[in-house]
Amino acid sequence: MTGIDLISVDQAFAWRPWAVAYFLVIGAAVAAALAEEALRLLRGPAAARPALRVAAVLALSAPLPLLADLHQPARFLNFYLGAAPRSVMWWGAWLLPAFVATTLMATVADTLGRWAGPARLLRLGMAASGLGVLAYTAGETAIVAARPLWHNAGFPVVLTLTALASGVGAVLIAGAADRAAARLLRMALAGSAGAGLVALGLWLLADPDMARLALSEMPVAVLGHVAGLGLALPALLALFGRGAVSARLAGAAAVWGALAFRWALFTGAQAQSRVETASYLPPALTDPATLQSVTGTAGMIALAAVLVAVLDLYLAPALRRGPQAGPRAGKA
Amino acid sequence: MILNRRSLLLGGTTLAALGAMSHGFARTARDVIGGFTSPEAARGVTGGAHAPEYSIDAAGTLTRNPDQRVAYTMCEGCTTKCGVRVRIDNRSGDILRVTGNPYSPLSADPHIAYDKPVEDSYAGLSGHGETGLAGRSTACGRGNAALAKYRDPRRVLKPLKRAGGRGDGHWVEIEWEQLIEEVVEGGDLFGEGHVDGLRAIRDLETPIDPENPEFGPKANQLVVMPVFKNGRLMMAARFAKMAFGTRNLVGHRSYCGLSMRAGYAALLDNLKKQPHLKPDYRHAEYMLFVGTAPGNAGNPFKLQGTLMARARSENGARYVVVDPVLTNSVTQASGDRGRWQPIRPGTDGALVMGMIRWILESERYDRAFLERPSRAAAEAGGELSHSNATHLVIDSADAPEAGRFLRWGQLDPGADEALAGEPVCLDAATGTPMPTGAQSDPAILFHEDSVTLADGRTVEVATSLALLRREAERKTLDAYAEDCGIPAERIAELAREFTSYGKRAAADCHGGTMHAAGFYTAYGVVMLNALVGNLNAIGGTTAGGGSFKAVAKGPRYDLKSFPGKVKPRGVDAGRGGFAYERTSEYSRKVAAGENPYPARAPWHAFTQPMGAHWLASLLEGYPYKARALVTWSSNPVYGVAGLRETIDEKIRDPRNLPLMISIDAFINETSTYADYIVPDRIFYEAWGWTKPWGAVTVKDATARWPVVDCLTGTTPDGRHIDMETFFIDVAKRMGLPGFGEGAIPDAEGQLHPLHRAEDFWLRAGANVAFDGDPVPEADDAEMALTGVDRFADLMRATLKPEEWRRVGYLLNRGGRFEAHAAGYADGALRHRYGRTLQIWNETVASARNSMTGARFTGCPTWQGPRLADGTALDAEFPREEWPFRVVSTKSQLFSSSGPALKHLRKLRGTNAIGLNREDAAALGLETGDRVRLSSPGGTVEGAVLARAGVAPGTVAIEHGFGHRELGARTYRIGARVFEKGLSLAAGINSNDLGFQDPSASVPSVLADPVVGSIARQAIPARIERLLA
Repeated sequence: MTGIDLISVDQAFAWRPWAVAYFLVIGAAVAAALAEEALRLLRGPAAARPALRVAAVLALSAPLPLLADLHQPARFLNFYLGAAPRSVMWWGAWLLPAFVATTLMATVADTLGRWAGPARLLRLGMAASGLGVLAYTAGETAIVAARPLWHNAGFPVVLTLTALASGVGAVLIAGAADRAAARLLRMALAGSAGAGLVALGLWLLADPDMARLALSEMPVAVLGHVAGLGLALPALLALFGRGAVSARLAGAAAVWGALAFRWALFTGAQAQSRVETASYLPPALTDPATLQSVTGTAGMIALAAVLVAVLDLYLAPALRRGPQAGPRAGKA
Repeated sequence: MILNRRSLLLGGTTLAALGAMSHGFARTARDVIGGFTSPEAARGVTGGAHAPEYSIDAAGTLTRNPDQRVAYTMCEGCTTKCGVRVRIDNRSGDILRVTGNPYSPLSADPHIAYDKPVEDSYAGLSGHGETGLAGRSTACGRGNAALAKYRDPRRVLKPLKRAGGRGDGHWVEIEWEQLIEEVVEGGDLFGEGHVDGLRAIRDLETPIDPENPEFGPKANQLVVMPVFKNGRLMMAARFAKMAFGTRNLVGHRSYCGLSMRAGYAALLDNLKKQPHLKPDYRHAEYMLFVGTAPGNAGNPFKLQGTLMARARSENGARYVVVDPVLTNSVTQASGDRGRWQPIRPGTDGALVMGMIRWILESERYDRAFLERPSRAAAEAGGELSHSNATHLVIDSADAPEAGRFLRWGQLDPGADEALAGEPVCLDAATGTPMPTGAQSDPAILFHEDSVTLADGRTVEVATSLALLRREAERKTLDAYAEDCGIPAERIAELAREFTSYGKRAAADCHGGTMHAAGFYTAYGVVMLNALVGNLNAIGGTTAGGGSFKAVAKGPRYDLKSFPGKVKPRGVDAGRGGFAYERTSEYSRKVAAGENPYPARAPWHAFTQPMGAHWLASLLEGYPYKARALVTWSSNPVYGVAGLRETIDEKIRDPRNLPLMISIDAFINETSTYADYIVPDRIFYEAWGWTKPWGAVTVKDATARWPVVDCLTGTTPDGRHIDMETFFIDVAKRMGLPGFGEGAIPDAEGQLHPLHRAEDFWLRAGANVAFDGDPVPEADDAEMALTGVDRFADLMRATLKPEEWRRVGYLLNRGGRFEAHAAGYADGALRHRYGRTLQIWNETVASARNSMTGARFTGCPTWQGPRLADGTALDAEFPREEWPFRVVSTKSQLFSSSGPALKHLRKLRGTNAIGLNREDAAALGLETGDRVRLSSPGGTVEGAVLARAGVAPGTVAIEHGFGHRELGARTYRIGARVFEKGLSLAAGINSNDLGFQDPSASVPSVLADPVVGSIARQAIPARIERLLA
């Protein structure tokens, strides 16, 4: 994808569509991990297990789209060659692997039903690094002063709330462990999507400049899409809907809303140049890169789901049958 | 057990997932692997970049890379003349990379101390000490890309002679001796009959035309069209004017920014030199840019970019850019500090006159400044400049002195000579008439009355400011608003803003005023500065810091005179700078009782010679034909709107122009018609001395010297072929004064030879080195660092013992630059412009339009773009038929030679036809649609780019594309075929839409009626869709 600039250079968009996929997947992964912790506290390990599986699948899927978004992907190793504590991305370079690792290890421990003590620490690490991931993803965008629409208090709040809604939505799509867990998840979805809607309104309506900017980067149709289909609908469905189908619908809508929001603000926003008077053609949903990012990420999620399923269905039972096999920890 | 439904499902999903991932992440995988295995990766941290030129350790010690050197010289990627820092590979001799010279005020802000050792200047550009951006010096994208000219395979390296018809693109290489022999002696050079050589043309006595003796001698039939003042111009001028004796030598001003130059000159009272005036960007609190894009185009755009970014982000300065096209001057990065004001093309003059009207009526002008009639009065009042606002102008249309100032001698015939010539003002306290030079108190600003002269006549008089107010009040604010498309309230708002910052507000314009109302537009824009009295003030405007003496009567050598120097005389080949009323044609018509008006084509009484009109004029023989044309690195056929169409057929016929020589490193749209092409150095191989156009507040003499070895062929005695060598050898063969032995006088009157370029340019360097306090001597180590030691022997042989190391010191630093702090003193600019600002300019007011006989107005006025005979362009080409007006825009990357540079082509392949989104929608057009754009003079075809950043009714075309030469077509040199480069021909040139002025009987391109600056903006046009 290339922007056509009237009076300077034709250049590749800095933010590729894989960035949209990464932000969606990692946000949802953290939200699912946090949902796991909440359900475990309130309803016990069994109620939390589906959320942990979802978190594992998504955490496993996130790094690859991130790598694909980089223009020189091998250079990500440079993050580890020196300390740059004033860089949000540098913190992210540590928080992301920490989150992925703790989530996967917590999942293995949970699936095998072993190492109850360390598992608790792992889950604590997962929650802490997950919160860190939410902070860094919101922070690395919000600090970009050249993008006024990002560079304010409202944007990171909406970004985070849509991440929470999408993650809870993803757990609902996968299916809650029981009705009580489902009810809690629906409340969480209604809460995060509703709060997201309120935050979106406050962010854009409190400041006419912000509203003008938002409309220039997110046409009314997209904005309506995010607010109506992506936030209001899941909130209403979660509050008033009944049954698994409506829960899954609510979840899917929340995921869709988060995706649309990220698409508009990361990729679509680049049609507006920051430092030049550019006239870029906005990237299209049918661009090869967009299609590649969608199929690639979907493939990665499917593969991650297979791996988690294999762990659960084949490896764990096999290992449990081994000499050190013990009772599955925390079985309700 | 293994192959159950579950495992099949998982296996199938895995396969599908892997398939999807290979589609989505194949490139990522390639990129990751490439990141470890590519040759760039193998080179470690520098990757694909060159090895560093030096390294600095933690202690700050510099270790050179023996394979590279770093030299400071001058860029010529455009006309800005920045000081640059060039990295050169010692093994291959290639230029590796170009950045800015930290000593140069055009490239660093602030620039480093001049006495800093060169090694320290290198260290200052490193990461040592973590100084961040402080001390950094930059080159722009063009400057970086222009290094490709050096090894360009299309460079002309040996003399070429045409082998077919003119412009056919078939050449043969010839030897140097043959070239000099043929151009000097002439003969049957092309098998087309006898051609006079330069020797036969140089006749300083016989008039070109006895019927029109004012045309001057036949020597004027050599016409020399050099490049702009690029630091080497004086060698061409020495040959053409001082030695050969033709009066026809001029740069590209008349098709570049003459309207701005002439408009500013009218206010600055220097129509001859036409100084630039620029805002003091560092301190201005409000800036208004009309038809110029600070930091985007115009010069010095790179420095402007730095200063504007600081102004808006650190000083809180606000600015407005008035332009039909939104440029990079106003972007999201400028936030609410910068504002774009769209305007209808060609109507800036209406906006400005509306603002002037509002300022005068609202009494928002700087009274304390304007009422000071003289320098003494200004100094007494603490003002930094003064104007003639209070001077009385003779206002009776029928008086012979109409438009001129009332002189003290006209009231008091007994006054002594000095006082008699003084204009008259009225003392503010008493109303008593006073000679302005003797008036140190305020004078009356607005006054209109009649006065009885000593000779008994009674004439009307008015002060300059009263005349300006009268002119501004010819139209209402609403009428101005209607003409320019900016609401009256907004005009008033702009005027209020501009007058709300005291002297810390400044207005500027440039190439956007190159339309058929350009002169008065520019005069009006610069008048805004006078109304707030900002000249020489902090945050106001500056005419620049000047330069050191180089090619001048300098402290060491006199490079502007020599024994036998000729003083050229006669009429400019483009009818510039000569009043039609002084011609024999005029006298003959008057004597015959005819109306002398109109002339056959426009004459421009007070402007400078105009190269833009030369080709059309000399091919038509009005005023006279040329017998030889020499172009040097100039390309009017590409740059002058409408010229190609006007001359293409005629110039191909040698009977219209018997001899044409082009000195150029490349074959461009103009040199393609040449009979001979003489190779030339590109700027990294050449010598020269320049000064900035404007905006630099300190003295600056930028040096150009051959930082790389010259690639052109050599003469039998081993000198590289270039412009200087050509002129020197032609002059020596012709026996012209000022060349060869005994050509250059030194300060003691001894004569020195001029056999090679260095004889001239090194001595110019000696002048710079000794101007004021002499610079120190460079030691061997420092000269070895920069590669200046390559010329140590030559400098020692050419210069005096006390000179050569000082010149080395200059070259080591890329010139001589005053300290940053020297720009300001005592709360004002230190280098001040001293002449009287002309609220009313009597030279303009006493000149007439040669097509109508009407007197011009002596102050800014709004007339709208017009043909030479005064017909409004909109009446001749009504909007019903021609609904659009075309403007050209400049990017920060492309100049006219941009597409020839491979690095730039990669960044940007072509240009487009920019349209306002709603205009495009009304025509059913979308971005990417192909259209035909037609004007009264031509047609171009291209793709639409629909933008919000184009004013309605405007077509915006980026300048630099649409080449026909520079490799854009196939040509042959001997048996070698140079295939057409498709990418070199990409895009369109808006100048192909320019057209001949229909009101002139001799073909002449449309131009400003007052000064003749080319109209390349606001060209009428219409659009039709092409079927895909």
